[in-house]
Amino acid sequence: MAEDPTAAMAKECKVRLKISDDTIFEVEYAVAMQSQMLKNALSDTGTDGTVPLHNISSEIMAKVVEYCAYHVNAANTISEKDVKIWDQEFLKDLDQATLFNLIMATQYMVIHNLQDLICQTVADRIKDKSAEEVREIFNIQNDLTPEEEEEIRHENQWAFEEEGWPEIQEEVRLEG
Amino acid sequence: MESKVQKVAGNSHASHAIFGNNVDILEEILKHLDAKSVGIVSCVSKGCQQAAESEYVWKIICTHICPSSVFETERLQSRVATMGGFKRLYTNFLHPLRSYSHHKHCSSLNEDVIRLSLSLFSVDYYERRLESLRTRNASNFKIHSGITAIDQSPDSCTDIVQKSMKENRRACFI
Repeated sequence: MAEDPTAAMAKECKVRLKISDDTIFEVEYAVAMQSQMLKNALSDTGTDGTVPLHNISSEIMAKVVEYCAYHVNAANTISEKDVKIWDQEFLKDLDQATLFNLIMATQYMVIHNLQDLICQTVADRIKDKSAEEVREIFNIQNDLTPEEEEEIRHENQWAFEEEGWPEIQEEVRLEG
Repeated sequence: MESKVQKVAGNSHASHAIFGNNVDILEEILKHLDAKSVGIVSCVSKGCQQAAESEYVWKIICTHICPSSVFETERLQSRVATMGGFKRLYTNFLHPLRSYSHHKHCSSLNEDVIRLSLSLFSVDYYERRLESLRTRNASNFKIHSGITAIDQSPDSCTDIVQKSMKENRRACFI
């Protein structure tokens, strides 16, 4: 299959991204296209200029580019199982602040697969944990009064109950 | 791939409770959780409660547990939203039916259970509407009788009674 000209151009084109401390990241066109936001921005303006991304730091941008570059290469060449293993390694040992900033960056740049990966990883950490454990993991202060908390627990009683089919408490009388 | 990476000191001075403060990000995380965990998270803090009430989250939870794509149609989503929302649908109808399915050792929700829950959900909506109509009619009736009483014998009514009638009339229009 003859290589189509746009694909060839894509390989050579570099996209310039200017981040919070005015550092310029140069990335391949295909890598930049992993971001819907960049895709839209560049389809209007072309690849000549520099795209400003003032709210993203160097550290975060480096991680984002690392992920996108890997996934562009992995698309048809690496098995799904190995990609999953790479993804887990990628996120291992990242502290909460970094994870949070990564989620913000992926939201801004609209990179769904990375956003889902990080959110799923964070969700797995709090799955099936008690409210107190979740507070510890996320370092959240309980700003609910005891009455408020009691009310919420009561509203969400179903979540605190044991699995099982409850006994019917009262008789249901049909009228008429 | 070329990239100019400047080594910058890590973001170690991050403020505490970063996840707790941002309701949007919490919603994005909660949508990956099962219903029970979301219910528990709602008790963690005010921000978590707000995120855990989000219809965006519950719509995704309901869609995930449903084997077919019935919850994915816009028409059904807007009907559910009008009739009380996905959270109510799950906690009051889907959850008990799920528990019953597990109790009877059935593997997962099937079409019939989904349809049953939607029917019960509709019945619940109309019952609530009927009830609120009844209460409004009852209070309108009281006001109407009160006004008739005042008109017929204004002297016999004390100031207090007149004042409370006026307050009731005002409440009707809020």
